[in-house]
Amino acid sequence: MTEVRYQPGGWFGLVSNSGLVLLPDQLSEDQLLAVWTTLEEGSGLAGILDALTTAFGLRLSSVPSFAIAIFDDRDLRIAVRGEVFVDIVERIDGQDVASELSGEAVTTWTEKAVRSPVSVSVRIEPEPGPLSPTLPISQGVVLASWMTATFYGALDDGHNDWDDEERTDEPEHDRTEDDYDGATMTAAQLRAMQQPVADSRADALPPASTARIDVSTGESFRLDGPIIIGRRPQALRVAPDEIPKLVSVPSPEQDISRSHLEIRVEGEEVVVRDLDTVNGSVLRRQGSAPSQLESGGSTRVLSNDVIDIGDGVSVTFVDLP
Amino acid sequence: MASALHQTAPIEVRWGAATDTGRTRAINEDAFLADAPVFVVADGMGGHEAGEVASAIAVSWFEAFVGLRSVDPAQVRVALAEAQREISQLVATTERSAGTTLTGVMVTEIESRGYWLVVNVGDSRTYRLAHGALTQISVDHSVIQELLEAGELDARLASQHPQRNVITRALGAGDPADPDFWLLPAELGDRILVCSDGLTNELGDDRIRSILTDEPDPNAAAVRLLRESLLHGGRDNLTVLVIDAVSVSGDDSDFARGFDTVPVTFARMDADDTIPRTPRSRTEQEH
Repeated sequence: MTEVRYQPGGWFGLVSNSGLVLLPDQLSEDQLLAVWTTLEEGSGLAGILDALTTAFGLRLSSVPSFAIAIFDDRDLRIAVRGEVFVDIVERIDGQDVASELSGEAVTTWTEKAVRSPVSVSVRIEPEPGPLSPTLPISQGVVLASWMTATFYGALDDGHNDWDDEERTDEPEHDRTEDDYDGATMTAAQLRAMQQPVADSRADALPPASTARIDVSTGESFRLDGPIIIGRRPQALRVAPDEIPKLVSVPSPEQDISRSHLEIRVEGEEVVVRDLDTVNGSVLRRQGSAPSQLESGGSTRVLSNDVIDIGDGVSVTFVDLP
Repeated sequence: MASALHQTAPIEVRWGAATDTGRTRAINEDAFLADAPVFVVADGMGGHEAGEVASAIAVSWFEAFVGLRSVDPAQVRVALAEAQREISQLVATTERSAGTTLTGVMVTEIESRGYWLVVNVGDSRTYRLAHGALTQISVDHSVIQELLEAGELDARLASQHPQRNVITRALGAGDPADPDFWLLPAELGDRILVCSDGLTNELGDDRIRSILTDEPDPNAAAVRLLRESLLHGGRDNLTVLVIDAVSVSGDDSDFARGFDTVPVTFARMDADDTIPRTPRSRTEQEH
């Protein structure tokens, strides 16, 4: 899941379900729409760069400043040109690491690929400061000076898109522009000037996970991170990337413990743990007799497994990998 | 459902704050921010006022949360990462060692319920006073704490240990930041204490608890804790924040419903008050 917020301002802020782009107001409507269409098509960073360089007649000096953050293959790919700034927080070796990227003092643009992004901000103010963009947007074009996307859940588990929707395959962008002078170049040439930023991963992506739990109270939750279910669930001493989703369920008889059942995604497996509860949890699996979950121990669950946590509340596992 | 324009905070709070350089230090390297919904304390370290700068930077990244209804854990994650980056840059450009602890509590909302979001890096502390019991929520990132957890040190000897001031995580100072988070369902009457170790090195838990219990006004409680620490020696910078939950959305605890409905389990209400099932287990009922 991704949440995008922005600070109103004078630039064009484009937000689609695959990424965001910040462009100066000097763009004509046609130019803006060309970029927007490409962004909506999900053509990746190359597509956007192509649209931008095409819209400005392939003359490098005429290409405006920009900041782009877009999911491309498995990575969040970022490109920034001119005096525009990008703040990135990513998970590296078990740490949240912040960095800043800008296109200042670079002839073309600066690129970076981020494998495990936590958040990305694009802004025109040189000072990052503790300002926080406040207005929400899910998709569209706004006038903005600052946009922030925050990513929730396990993005490095095959999620390759803002919202895990099907992406169209990236089209080829082989342009054949022959009649240009030495000062201009094709988008492909421009890209070739950039140092490679990451290995290209051409192998097929795993399909976006649709694994979820259905709780008997009627709610469903995607399994994109840890979940704790209980009467009054809490999380104790967790790392930043392990902050669980807390799901409270009614238990008029106080049969269910405050924090009762923990659900974790471990690679391709989904694992549950009864959190040392007073009344325990029961696993119902087709073809097997119901069994009490070992208190405090981890158990792998499969699709269609049901766990009964008491007071008539059960959790059904759906579409597990 | 309340109108979007007039939504009350998930936890309405009253608070008080007090800080002092102490009796032996020349400058106060502690920094704090106390304004709803964010309450944090940072204890800076490093020579030549570098600690003062580091703690001020850390706290400044939380200012953007002031005035919000609720703070999202993901925003706090970003603030901490940015603070770590800015302090590390300071260290790199000035070639001074600088770092800071940071702990505190923020108001957050989960499924329409008010929650305390507690965060910690280092050995400043966040406590909760609920139903008369004082509980340390944050777990120190210190050599002492690691020895205690490994069973290699008796808690009574901790205050005498030569490495009692060595912390294992900090913002800046070349240490990993690696913050810990807690999400705790808030209850009406909760009182949160956020403080630097200047307080806890002078006053024991029992004394802190009795002052917090005796003094109903949060600001007066913070000032009393500070003054008593100074009387005890005040050997370090001291910062004390006291935050009271005066209303909590979605709080269906027995406490919130009123004392007349509190069952006999009142004495152990901060433990799990789940009622054991009798006489047969569900697995038996299946057959």
